[in-house]
Amino acid sequence: MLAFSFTGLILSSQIQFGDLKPIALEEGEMPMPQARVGLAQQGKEIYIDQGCIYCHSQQVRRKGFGADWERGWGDRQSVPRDYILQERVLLGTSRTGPDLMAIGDRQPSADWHHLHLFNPQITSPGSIMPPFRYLYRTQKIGDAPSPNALNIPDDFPLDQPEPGYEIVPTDRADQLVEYLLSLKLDYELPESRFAE
Amino acid sequence: MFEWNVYLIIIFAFGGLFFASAVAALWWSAKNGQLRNFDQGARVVFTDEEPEGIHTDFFPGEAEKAGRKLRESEVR
Amino acid sequence: MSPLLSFFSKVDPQTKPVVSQKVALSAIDHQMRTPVLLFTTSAILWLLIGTAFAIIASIKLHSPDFLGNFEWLTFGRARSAHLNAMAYGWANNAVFAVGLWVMARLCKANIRYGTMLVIAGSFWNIGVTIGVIGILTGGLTSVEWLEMPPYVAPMLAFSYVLIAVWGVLMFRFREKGHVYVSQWYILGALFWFPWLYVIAQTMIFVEPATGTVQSITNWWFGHNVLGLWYTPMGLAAIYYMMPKVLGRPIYSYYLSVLGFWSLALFYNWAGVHHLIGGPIPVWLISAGIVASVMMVIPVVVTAINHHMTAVGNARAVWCSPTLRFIVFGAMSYTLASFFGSWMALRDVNVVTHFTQFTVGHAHHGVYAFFTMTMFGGIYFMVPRILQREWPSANLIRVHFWCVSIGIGMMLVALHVGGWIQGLQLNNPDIPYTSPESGVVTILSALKPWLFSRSISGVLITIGHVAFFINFILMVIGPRAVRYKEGPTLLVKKEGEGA
Repeated sequence: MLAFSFTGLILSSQIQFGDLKPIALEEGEMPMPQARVGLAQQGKEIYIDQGCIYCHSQQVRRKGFGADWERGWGDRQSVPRDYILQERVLLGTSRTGPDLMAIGDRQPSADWHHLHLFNPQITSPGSIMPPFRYLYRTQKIGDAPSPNALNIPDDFPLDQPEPGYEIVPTDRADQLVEYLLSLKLDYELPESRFAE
Repeated sequence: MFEWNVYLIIIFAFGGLFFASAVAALWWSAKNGQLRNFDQGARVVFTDEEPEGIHTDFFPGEAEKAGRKLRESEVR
Repeated sequence: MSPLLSFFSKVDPQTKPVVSQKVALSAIDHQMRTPVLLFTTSAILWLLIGTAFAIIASIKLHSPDFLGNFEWLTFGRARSAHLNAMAYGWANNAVFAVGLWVMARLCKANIRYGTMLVIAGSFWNIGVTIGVIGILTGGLTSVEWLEMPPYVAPMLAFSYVLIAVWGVLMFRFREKGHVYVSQWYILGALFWFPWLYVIAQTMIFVEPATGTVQSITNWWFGHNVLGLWYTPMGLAAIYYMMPKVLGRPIYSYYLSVLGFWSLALFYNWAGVHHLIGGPIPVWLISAGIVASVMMVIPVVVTAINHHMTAVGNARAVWCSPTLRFIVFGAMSYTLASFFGSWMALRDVNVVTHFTQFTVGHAHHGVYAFFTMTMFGGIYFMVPRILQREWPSANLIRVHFWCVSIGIGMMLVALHVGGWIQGLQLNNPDIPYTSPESGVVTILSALKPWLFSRSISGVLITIGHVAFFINFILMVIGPRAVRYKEGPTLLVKKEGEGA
């Protein structure tokens, strides 16, 4: 019986999805989806080993089922083709925090993401997301402040660096933010158009 | 990534094996008389050391008290 | 003769000129002593480790700054360490101990070369240890129920085979006669688990399947490991312990056999209900929903059976530590299964999906049913293995009351809190957080429930510590302990107590 369910559930979908390929909506356009490369792909590893999936899903349900669309989590339903190039699929089953399928569209500011990761209370007061301060380091200000130093608001005195010091992202923080910014649902597929 | 037909071969090998063993188990149990005489079958858990009709588990040190109470309630 | 066969015939007691084929239960208990003790001890140690991670993760969820600067304890890793320590550490070790022991007793086969079981068990535990450390140090895979880094999988799979083969060998050389329903459950589960594990490892890590087929595989595994590994083992224990302790056979043995086959038939399709609304074909989801609803059949069958066996024996249940836990587990099985079928309905799922309700449901099944049942099994088994009575009745009571009130509280908190969370998630006017205080937000409404979950966790921790102390005192067996009394079961002459 277990063999049947395996055949029925997994194998049949593998047959069904196995041939899915990126597709262009119109002749001459870029086939979508595209593989994630470089920093963003490295950032996905950080996303995985920190366990972000346990509070954040990456899937948009159709308009009318739940409030995914109304919350602005994506302009259209996400479909199997959206995931075919991902080596590890991170659909997620928990929304303790918002869905991140299109967080790169919704929140395109890298500075916002860095502040949010450093201490979520700065950007989202009352959040229960853990702080990821360990992805940042404090360093002595050189000749001039680094352009990527975090600009922590004055009402978070505990997070302020000592005078003469600054807080900058580590490589891992940069990669993670790059990954988050790459999460977009700004293209259409034949089987899933933007909902009205 | 395998092509899907490789999965198909794997599944036929394993799935067939599993299905065959399940059928064999059911066939065996029917032939063996496992599906008959359920009354007696239910009693195989009891042996001479732990026979039917005897409660076998109490809080430590309270077996006597609890056993007495149980017998009283059974009499009633 | 192939080496395998010759090994079989070596361990086959029947090749020897045996006077009596029947092996006494006490002889089996003695033969199983070392392996069972190893599995039980490691199970309880993992239980404590898993509990510690559970408390840390739970507190972090309402007070995110708690231990916030330790990367290895960030929420995602702590909760995964909790899950894997519990699933592969506590639950599997408990299954190996109780399942194999019940199997051995029912098969009445001589067990030779028990040290091999000890070696295999040690490797299993080393594997889980490496896996949990891997999770904490950056090897977390973010695949639910398979969080341990893939490199431990071969070790776990290999030691599993060496452990499970003992169950199969016992069955192969069992005493002739009827095969009890517990034996069916255990034998089935012993084959199902490796199949699930190997397929899931292969299709997710070794040769990742295309896109969301991975997610389907993930939930096919995640749900079946509960339904076709922990559940059958739990039910096997219930079907063995209940008649044993009460001294009367199961109410309807026919129903229990029917329950076995219908579980095997329906359960394994159900996992897809974790993906309702997700990017997978609709017909698959429908199949998952139908299977989930069909699960009502084996559940009703099993529930009737348990209920009718225990009914009228309330006092006997209450007087037995084993049955207190087992009956608690059996009742939770019924309730949790009904909830599970109900949650698979689309209209309900649209509320409960993605919320703490699901987390509550998982604890309902794995803790209130499975873990409670295993507690009961251990309370029955260890005195017979060690030929000693539990040192303290009061510690058993503390254990029972703390964990049953604790899990009750947790279930209420997570189900109610999760339901509210789900309703609010579906109302786009309610934000997650708000810069203004006094505004209703999803997280501000959820926090009190998460906080009470932490309180319930403290209660459960106290229960586990009481259990651990009682167990350690029993194993060490200091002079002060009433262990000369022997296990309660040995008092069996009429008029001598029971």
